[in-house]
Amino acid sequence: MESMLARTATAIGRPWWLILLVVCLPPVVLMSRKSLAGLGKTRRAAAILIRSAVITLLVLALARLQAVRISDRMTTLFLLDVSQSVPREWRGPMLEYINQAITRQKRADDLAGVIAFGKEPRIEVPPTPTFNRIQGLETTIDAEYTDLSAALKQALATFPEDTARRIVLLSDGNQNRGDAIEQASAARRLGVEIDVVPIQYKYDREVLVEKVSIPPDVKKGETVDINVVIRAGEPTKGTLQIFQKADNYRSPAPGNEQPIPITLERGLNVRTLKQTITEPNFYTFTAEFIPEEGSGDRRAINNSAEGFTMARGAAQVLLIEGTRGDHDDLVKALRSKGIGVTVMVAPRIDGSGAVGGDALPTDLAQLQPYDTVVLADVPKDSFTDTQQKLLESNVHDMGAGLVMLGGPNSFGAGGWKDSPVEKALPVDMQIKAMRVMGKSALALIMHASEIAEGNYWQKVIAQQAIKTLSNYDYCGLIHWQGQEAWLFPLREIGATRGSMLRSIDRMTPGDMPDFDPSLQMAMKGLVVKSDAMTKHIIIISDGDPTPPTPAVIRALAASKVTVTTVLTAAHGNDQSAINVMSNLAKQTKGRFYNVTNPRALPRIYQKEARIISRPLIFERKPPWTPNLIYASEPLNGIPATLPGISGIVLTSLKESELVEAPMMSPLPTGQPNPLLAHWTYGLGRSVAFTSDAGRRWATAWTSWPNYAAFWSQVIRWSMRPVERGNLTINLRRENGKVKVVVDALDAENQFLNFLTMKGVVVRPDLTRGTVELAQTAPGHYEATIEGAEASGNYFVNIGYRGAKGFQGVVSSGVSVPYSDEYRELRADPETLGSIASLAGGETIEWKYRPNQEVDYQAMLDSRNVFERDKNQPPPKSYRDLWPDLLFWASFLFLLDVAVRRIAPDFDRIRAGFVTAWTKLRGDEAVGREEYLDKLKSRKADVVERIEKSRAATRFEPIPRDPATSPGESVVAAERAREAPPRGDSSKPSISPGAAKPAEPESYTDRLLRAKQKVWEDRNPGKKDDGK
Amino acid sequence: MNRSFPRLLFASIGLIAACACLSGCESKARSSVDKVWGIHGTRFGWLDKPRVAALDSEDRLYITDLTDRIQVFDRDGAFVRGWHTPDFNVDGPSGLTIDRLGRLLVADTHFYRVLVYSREGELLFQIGDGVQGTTPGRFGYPTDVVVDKAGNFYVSEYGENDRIQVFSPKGEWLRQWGGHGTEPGSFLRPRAMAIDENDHIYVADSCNHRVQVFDARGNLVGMWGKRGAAPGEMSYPYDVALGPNNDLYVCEYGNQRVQKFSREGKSLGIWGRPGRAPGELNNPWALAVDRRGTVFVIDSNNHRVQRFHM
Repeated sequence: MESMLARTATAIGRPWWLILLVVCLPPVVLMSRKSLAGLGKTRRAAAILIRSAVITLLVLALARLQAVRISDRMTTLFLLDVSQSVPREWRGPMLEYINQAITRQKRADDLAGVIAFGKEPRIEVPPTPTFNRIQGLETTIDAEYTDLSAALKQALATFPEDTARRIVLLSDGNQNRGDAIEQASAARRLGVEIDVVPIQYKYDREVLVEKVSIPPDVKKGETVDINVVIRAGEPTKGTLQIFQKADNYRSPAPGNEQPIPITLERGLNVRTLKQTITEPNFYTFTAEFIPEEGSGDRRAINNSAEGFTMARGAAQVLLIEGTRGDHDDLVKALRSKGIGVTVMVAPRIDGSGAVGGDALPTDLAQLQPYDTVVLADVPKDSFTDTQQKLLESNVHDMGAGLVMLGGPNSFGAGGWKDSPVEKALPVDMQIKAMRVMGKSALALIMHASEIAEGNYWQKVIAQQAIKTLSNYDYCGLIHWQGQEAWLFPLREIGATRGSMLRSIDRMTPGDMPDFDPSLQMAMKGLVVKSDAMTKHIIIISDGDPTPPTPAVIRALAASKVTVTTVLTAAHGNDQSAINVMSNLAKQTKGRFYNVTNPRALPRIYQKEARIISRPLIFERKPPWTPNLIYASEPLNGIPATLPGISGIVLTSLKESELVEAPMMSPLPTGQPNPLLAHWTYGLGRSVAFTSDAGRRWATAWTSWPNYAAFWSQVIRWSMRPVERGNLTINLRRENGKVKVVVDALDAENQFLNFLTMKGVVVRPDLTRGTVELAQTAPGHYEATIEGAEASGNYFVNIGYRGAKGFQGVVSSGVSVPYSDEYRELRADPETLGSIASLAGGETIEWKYRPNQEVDYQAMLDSRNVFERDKNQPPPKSYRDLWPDLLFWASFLFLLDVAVRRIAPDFDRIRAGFVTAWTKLRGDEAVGREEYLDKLKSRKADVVERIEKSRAATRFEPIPRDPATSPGESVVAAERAREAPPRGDSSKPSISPGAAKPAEPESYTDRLLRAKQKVWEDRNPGKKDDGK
Repeated sequence: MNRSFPRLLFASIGLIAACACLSGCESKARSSVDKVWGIHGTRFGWLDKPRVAALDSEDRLYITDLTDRIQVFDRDGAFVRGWHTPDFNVDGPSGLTIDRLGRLLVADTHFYRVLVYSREGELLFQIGDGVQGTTPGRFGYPTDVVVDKAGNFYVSEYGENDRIQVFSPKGEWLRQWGGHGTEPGSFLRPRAMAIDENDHIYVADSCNHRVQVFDARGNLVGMWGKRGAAPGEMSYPYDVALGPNNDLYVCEYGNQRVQKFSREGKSLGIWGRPGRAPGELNNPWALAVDRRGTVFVIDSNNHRVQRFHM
């Protein structure tokens, strides 16, 4: 079948190399004619022919001879829009059209594939000749957006090379990311046609709550207007209710306990609710419209929107600690100085994720009520990656403060190295030059786990562990690749951290059949690291490899190698797997985690690596006195003599002129040890205090009279600055963009001109962008933020600076209640039409039977999506032939040597054939007689030669060159005998047979030579010619 | 003319031809493959890490993969029918056998039981109560089932007790042998079994890298293999199957190849090498051999089946 659809031809890639044929061939032929003259006619001709062939093949290889396959095959990729804007009831007919087109129009060798897309494309069915009907979608797609261009791009990259290509796009044409038109032109350039099947719909009677608008900043006791903007397609009746949320608690807004009946006009409607703010806090107001029954409103998700505002009061601090009550002294001291403190306890980590503790803030809005966040001896693994980013962004972009207090779980010892929080602090967690206190060695054993995305998680966790370890620790990783093998052997992390992380990126651990060999391999590697204080193995598995044998477990325990086992509960509640894994951990004094939530994995690995890597804590008794180097701004009025401390976490100061380190610890000697450091980071400030707040290391500080003053000054210094000036900031979102407008007036209500206004926007995913405002009118500044499609909260913080040190920060936020997908009220067939006409395709309209059912046959009849465009050149695929050419050239070269060196005896070959032929005919007797005759004559020949040889040796010994030694003469004689007979032999004329190699040296010869040797030895001067 | 020249000529041409052929033939011997099929995915007709296979008398190939389903294909890979096992988990069954009565025996590994199906997918009965255990009649992780001439079931398992248990044709527990260990007669993960016409049972003792042969009473009658990649050596034999001419085919998960043995343990040939191209294997778990000696190897991590002769 394939041959029917494909033709082959050849092509030459670099034809000018063919000139070599003209240049080389004639001289080679001419020269060979002369030099091979001795070969005889036939062999010479053959040799010349072969030689020419060798050269021709080499030249063809240089000229890049290629096989060209011209194919009639067609690949059609169906692009299926599954975004929210396409009504659900269209999904069935779209799939059915695809199924029908493929089953009815695809030829056997054509390929068909399906790509479903929303925000990003996913290949549902790769281009394949064997197609099974699609019932539903198997891939998960973010349907909150439509990116037609990404889908087209994916399709262009998915096509196989050697077929004609067509895309069939099934969509409503609405897009809110990327530019499909650009991709359509790209497709055209690549010769890919795009047919479109437009989905049509129109939501005439939809109601959308567009936004809830509230002033961004209000004062305590103020009454604010909450404006709700609602768009209606038709006059509609319904109810509106406003909810208020503060401190994670949602309730109907005071005065709006019951839904208010409203009537909406066609177009925009604004409803206003007055609200009095009694307490300082961060408030979110949500407006919900519920349409009357039978209103024609089809989507509920676009019937609500929210807005937020901040009511500021006294200074507020959020203190997050690892163990409840550990920082009571500090909290008491701060409260005594009029600082409001909210204490939260961070969760601890086990197999199901973060357990216990309080609900830590998960978005910037929740952090807004606090002017400073204090991280009091909490490890990094208590926070999700997002929360860590949040803490950093809160300082850099929102201008809040961040204070980290020391302790066994803080700074480097808390695993904070390489975290966003480290970036925000004035100290680095890694020590540049340090006397290493306790190295650790960690071997990771990875067993491909069959949890969802197992390979992905394996990479994440291995990388987390390596990132958490210090430069001085050893790390190695064992995985399964047909056998257990080190991905990288145990070595000091140092400068190789990057290469370790990269090799993990390339790792694909296999399904390990048994534990023993890997454990033994890890143990062998660990025991030789004699300078490692802790030797630890972390093994991740679903528990179904063959359990370790007791001997191996005993050996591990004896070598003081601890094993932590991480069971990924791939097989549900599998008691045997739990037993195997927990016993291994128990018997080797490790920890056992039964992971029920893969998201807990990275934090388990961070925790494990952190627990074993403890070179960063310095403790000593008795306590020593730290030095107050100078009184920086937060230390105004603090006396120079400080109480003693008995421990710190080692850190190093960031190399920045913004960093100030007014308190240092003299111990450990040989390196600068910051005790208190602070700096300005972005719009905010941060502080690092590397000893603790008094529970373990700084016990003398709590009874120090200046304790409360010291801490309140430090905390106050770090707090968010109070806003000054008379600036109002307004954010407006339209068409996927946020417009920022600032009106600046001074105290006398005069315009403030020529201010520099720069700031940041923090998007819902916590990525940030910079904003720079330009003055467009007196006291009026504007900027536009692109790419605000995602739903969620956008925060904008603007720092301004004018003449005479006039400066400050204004901030605001805007909430995008739902994706733009839900704003689309009608399809956009025009965009699809342009795509089709740009890429030379057609628009396939939906056809209906009289009973309103889709008439697929009519649609298929209107366009065959597997038909190749006759105007397009057929697709070709090229294959270089040089490897084959070189192979045959070298083979022919050998043949050339063979022809020149080997002379075939054609008579004998012919005789051989004749004999064989006669044998075949069953006429063996003649052959046998002939053979016997030959044997007889050969025998007579040999007898005669022996006789002659005897006669010759008796009277004519071998002539000897007097210069050669007796031994050499024997060799020479033998060589002479082996040489073929020559006409001009210097030997006396004897029978030619005498020199034939068949004859061994006779006894007489040897005797004679021995006699000569004796004579020679006796008379060395005399010449003896041997006669 | 010298008479030795013709001989030299023929020898040389023969040598060249042999060289040329060897370079070609050898790669052919290593990678020649009849047919490769399989699309990675979870639809019916597609494969998601297939791990075990069995052939019925009509050369239909029964395959299970990670999605807890049994799929039936013809010998060219066309999908015939399929069904799910009663309970879903992320791992599928890891043992399949078509017995002498044409029934499909499924070692439902992670549900600690053996399921007996008709070839059409009707569940006839099950052995084991589905509770994990080391007592007689319960299973750790059952890996394979074979049936002897009398109709008794032999079930291999691993976990806390690596053993073979024997059940009557009605599913009553009869006896057991083996144990977790490296000594002859003990097992480390007996992954698969094959039974011959004399009721000798060939066990792929995978983590001991050997094949052990028992009679129906559990007496050890033969044993060969050690860890390695040379002919005769093995690395994690995961499946065994008997072919025509008294050959035993072993699927080596570790060495990523198929090795053919005589029933006495003499290595007769090797097929496959690690990789993703046709003729190359990526952690193969299983194989099935038909009456003509055609081998279907389950190339698990490549999510496909390769058909070849060796």
